[in-house]
Amino acid sequence: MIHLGLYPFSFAVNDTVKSVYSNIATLYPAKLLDIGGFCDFNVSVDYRRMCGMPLTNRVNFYLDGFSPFAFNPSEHATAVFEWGMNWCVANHVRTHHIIHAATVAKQNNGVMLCGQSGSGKSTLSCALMAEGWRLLTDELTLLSLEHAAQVTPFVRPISIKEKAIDVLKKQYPQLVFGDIAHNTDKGTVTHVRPTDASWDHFSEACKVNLIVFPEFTPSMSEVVVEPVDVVEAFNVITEQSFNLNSLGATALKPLAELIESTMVIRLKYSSLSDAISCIEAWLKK
Amino acid sequence: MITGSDLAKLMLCPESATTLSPEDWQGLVGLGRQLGLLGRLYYILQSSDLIDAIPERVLVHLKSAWVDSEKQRMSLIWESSRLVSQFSEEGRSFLVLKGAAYAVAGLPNSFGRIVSDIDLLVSKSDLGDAETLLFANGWTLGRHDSYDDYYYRQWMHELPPFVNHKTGITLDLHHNIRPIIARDKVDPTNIMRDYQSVQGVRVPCLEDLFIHSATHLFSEGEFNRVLRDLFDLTDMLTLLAERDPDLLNLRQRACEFNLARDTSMAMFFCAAIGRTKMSQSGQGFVEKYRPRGLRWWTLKWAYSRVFKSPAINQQRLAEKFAALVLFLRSHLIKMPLHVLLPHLIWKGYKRLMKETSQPKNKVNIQP
Repeated sequence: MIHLGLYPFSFAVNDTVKSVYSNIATLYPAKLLDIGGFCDFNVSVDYRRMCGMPLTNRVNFYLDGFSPFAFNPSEHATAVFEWGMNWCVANHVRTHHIIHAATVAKQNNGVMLCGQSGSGKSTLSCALMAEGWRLLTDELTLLSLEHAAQVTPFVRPISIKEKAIDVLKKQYPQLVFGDIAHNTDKGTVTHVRPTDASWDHFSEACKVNLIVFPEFTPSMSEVVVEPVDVVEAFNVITEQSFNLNSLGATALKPLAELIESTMVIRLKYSSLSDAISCIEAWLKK
Repeated sequence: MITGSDLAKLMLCPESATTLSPEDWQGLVGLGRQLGLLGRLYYILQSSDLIDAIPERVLVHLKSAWVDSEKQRMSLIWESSRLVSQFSEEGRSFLVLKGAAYAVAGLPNSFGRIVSDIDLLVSKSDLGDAETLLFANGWTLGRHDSYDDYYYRQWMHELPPFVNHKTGITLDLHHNIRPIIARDKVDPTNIMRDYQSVQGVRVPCLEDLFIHSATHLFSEGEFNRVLRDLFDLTDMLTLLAERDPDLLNLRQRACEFNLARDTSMAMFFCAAIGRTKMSQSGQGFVEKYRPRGLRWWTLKWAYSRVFKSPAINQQRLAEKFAALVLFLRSHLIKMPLHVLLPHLIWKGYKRLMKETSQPKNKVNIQP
């Protein structure tokens, strides 16, 4: 049993298959693995069972024994665990406005990267992190309901898919990768351990100073930046919201304030290093 | 291990919240989330002015559930009155039942209550028209096959569930409160006649709401939210007893509807687990109509087990066995054997096919 003491949510991990435990040891710092006290979610990734007997080819994710997903091949256990944790927060937390977006920060200047799956937001946030930025979150940006533009971090391993895995491994050999799950719903998936700098400040909120809609476009030879107007930005972000439906006006007001007071750009790129220098330049503006 | 009795104790005596350890809270939050009671707990603690005494980390989960339940409560009220205007254009009417009715009537148990669907009751002769009206107003039949359709229309008290293609809300269209094939037949005419109207929306009178909730809990085979259902009953029984300590009207109507057994069992457990105070005549009613002998002993044991059950991952053989017994009982009283056996065989076959076919890999948390 592990008490995974993340911020702002902690997870009690019980009755879980071995591969998940060893992946946790790779992806999370040892000092966070045995935090006592209140745990927000009691989770497990366990084999499918028939009359109590484990059938080792399939696993599922459980919250207090309840399973929200269909069964998955056992080789996907480590990915299922990370997705399950995301599901717990995205489906049950209404004290923050939760956006499907990554947030990274440099000297407490936050950049929120928001876009559809496949837009390259995780790859870009991973590269930024490797370049010394602090990762706040890769999947779930927790926007404050009281202070517009304030993001509460939820530091977790970054989910990297398909070809991006090799690109990042080559470009940033210092990154630590977890187990690889092949042929999942989302293709080949692995997770990258956040840098020590990200873990060291894992409870420090930051302010969003720039919003980026990345679009990985392999045919581009150089970076193209287009400013995005307020209404379009609003539409893109609300589409990526997990809990706007429940929160209604309490979340809409701070979001509108954030978008109106922050630069929003669309970034079409093919080279990670060009995209990073472009973001750094725009952040200074 | 935290069980349903710990959660019930906290809801009945919110002052005990100040004495709980972080480990207690962890169990209570997990179980309360599973049973759909966290929003209700928030409401109770807030009404008792105890929110400040709750650890901040715990409050996140209570508050979150409260936000969800309030959103659902408002949308149920809104959806009900929209349906009223759509039906009244064609000169039709209906009653809303269960969760939506509690919300519309503003009953205390509607606050913090998680409701997933909206239930309507129309007279059987209006059923076809009501179905057409729903189709015309953006509702479609949810996922089911031709057997389900036959099963519902032939034997049940409701049609297969409808889904609103815009809002995703599901809707059950009832023409009775018990399956029409059930041994104990219910005539819903008086429910339709003695309604109360709240801002144009028709809701059964409080007695009928209690009786319907009682028969739902003590005759049907779903046990995932039983503790929440019991707290619905205790809240309504307390209100009924405030109006009339002898519960004369309730007792009469329960007998008229042929549902005195389920009503007496509901009253028994309201007193036993929900600590609802009951007058002499209420107790007399329970004694007169409750099941007898070994059957009563078994039911008492099995229902106590499921009410006090811990979270799924901590359930032992006893809870699973109790739920199985009650599940089988619910089917036996729902339909006669010559209908039940083919139904169970067909359901079992379909389930086996689903289990053995290639499982789909569906993990999706995208918004």
